[in-house]
Amino acid sequence: MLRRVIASAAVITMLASLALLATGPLGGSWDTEIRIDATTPSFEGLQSVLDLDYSWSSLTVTSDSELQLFGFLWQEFGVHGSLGAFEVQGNLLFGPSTGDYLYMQMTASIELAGCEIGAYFAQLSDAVLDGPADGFAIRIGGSIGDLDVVSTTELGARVRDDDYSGITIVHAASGLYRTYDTNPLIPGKGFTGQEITLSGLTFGCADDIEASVYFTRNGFDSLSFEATGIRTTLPWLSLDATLTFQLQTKSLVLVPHLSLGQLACLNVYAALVTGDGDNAPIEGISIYGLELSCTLGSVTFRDLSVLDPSRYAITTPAYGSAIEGIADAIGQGHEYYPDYWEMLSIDVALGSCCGGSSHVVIYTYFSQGSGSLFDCAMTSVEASVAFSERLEFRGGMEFSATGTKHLSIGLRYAW
Amino acid sequence: MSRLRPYLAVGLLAALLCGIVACSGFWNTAPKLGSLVIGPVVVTGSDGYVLVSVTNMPSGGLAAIQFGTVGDEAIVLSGVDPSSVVIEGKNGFLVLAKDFTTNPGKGTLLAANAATGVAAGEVLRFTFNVTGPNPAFTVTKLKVTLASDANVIISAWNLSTKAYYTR
Repeated sequence: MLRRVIASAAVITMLASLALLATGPLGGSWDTEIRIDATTPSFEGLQSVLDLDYSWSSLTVTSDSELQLFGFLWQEFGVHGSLGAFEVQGNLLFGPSTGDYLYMQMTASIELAGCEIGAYFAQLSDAVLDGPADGFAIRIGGSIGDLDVVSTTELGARVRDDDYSGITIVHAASGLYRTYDTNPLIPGKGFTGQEITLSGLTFGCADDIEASVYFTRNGFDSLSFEATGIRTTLPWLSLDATLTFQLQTKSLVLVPHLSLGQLACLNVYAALVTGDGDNAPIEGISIYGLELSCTLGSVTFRDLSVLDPSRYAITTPAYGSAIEGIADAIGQGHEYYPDYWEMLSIDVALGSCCGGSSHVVIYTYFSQGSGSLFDCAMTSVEASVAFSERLEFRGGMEFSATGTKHLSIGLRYAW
Repeated sequence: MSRLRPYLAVGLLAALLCGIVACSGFWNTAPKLGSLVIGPVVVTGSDGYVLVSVTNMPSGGLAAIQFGTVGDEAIVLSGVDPSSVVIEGKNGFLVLAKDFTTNPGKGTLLAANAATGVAAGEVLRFTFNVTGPNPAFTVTKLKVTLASDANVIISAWNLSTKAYYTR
């Protein structure tokens, strides 16, 4: 009898929850994937992400939970929306697997007399290397004609902009990470920096000219002028120039860019070859990659060839499957395949019966000296099938000539 | 109102500059030392792995790392089958030499990156078979040597075993 009552209560609660999810202000999604090492075979990985959004008035409160095979990795609570005339956003990050509070960020911005004024506050806990730290920053931006003026006053924190990537918190055991705008630098608050940037000028010869001056608590730090896309008499050649004054040094860096344009379906990746050091003379042109792509109906075909694999590589599908300099990929944290010099891919968009869209993507990578047919090193097949606008199933398989390496299955449900 | 905008912007900038002058000298921002981050041992079934990462590495980033020498190993392992240790270089790092069997329970290796220095990110991944209930992977800082992309030894750095780091 008790079991029936418990079972009935569970079913009613579940149905009521589903009804609430479907009709109420609570939205979200659940995305989960299981990866299997087919060589052993063994359970290789699990990723499960639950997002919940609750809208209340003009504010939305969010909860983002990420579970991995080794444990409950991230729990983040957030809030964003309008509070009177202010646009507000907040993030609160925990590491449940270690039982730690990790990071908090609050931002508020308001538009006043054509100027956008933003206040940023962040705190990093001592559970994270470089913590504890906290601080805030004030950013004021506006335009005078074509000239954009941005002033950032740093009181123990730096804020993401074109030249600064904010803060990335990395889980040391897995390498998985989260990125936020405000980077707290020191414990306590006090003046740490002031940056004023003027941009938007072109003078008819460049895409953009930017001037920036930066002060720290010790006084003047640097003054820099940066011109991007300076046009030359050669239509395929442009220059970026950066002139920087520091207290006792001055530097000028000229970076030439080669633009060969794009033919109908062929893209040539090329760069100018220069000597060592800054402002070295141009010694030649290096063609380091070719991309062939065409779309026929719902089928897209791509072929990428890396001609200089010692310095360039193909990034993984998560980073766009593009040819990128290895040093740039490492610097920007992009994953790439170090051993493959060519990729063939076929992306097929399938019609769907129920409102969603379905895809099948096949990637084949080639290496040198793999010993397999045509030097084909690895092939992966990824398929996603939508059963409705809300429910999607995914499957993946990775194999080589010696057999299947990895399998994955997943689903995503949104409400 | 639009006529007032330039004056407002200039006024705000002037106020900020006054604020800078007023607030200068309050706090020192301590320079961040580079850190070698040894992740915890992660066990799934009978397999385990450890990720080694770096952050805030100076002089163009880390380009070479040496974990002691044979007979003076920097790595100490327990609860791990030494013969099963496989080391994978990450972000362009290549393992040039390693030894985990001459002195069981101790390990040494040399790895370098010919492409570029890594200022922040993963550099090595150790995988192994687990033989005991609480496998451990420890590193002796004094036996580790780091070299930068600018061809200089990185002398000031921290060894971290914290579960999280920033980059």
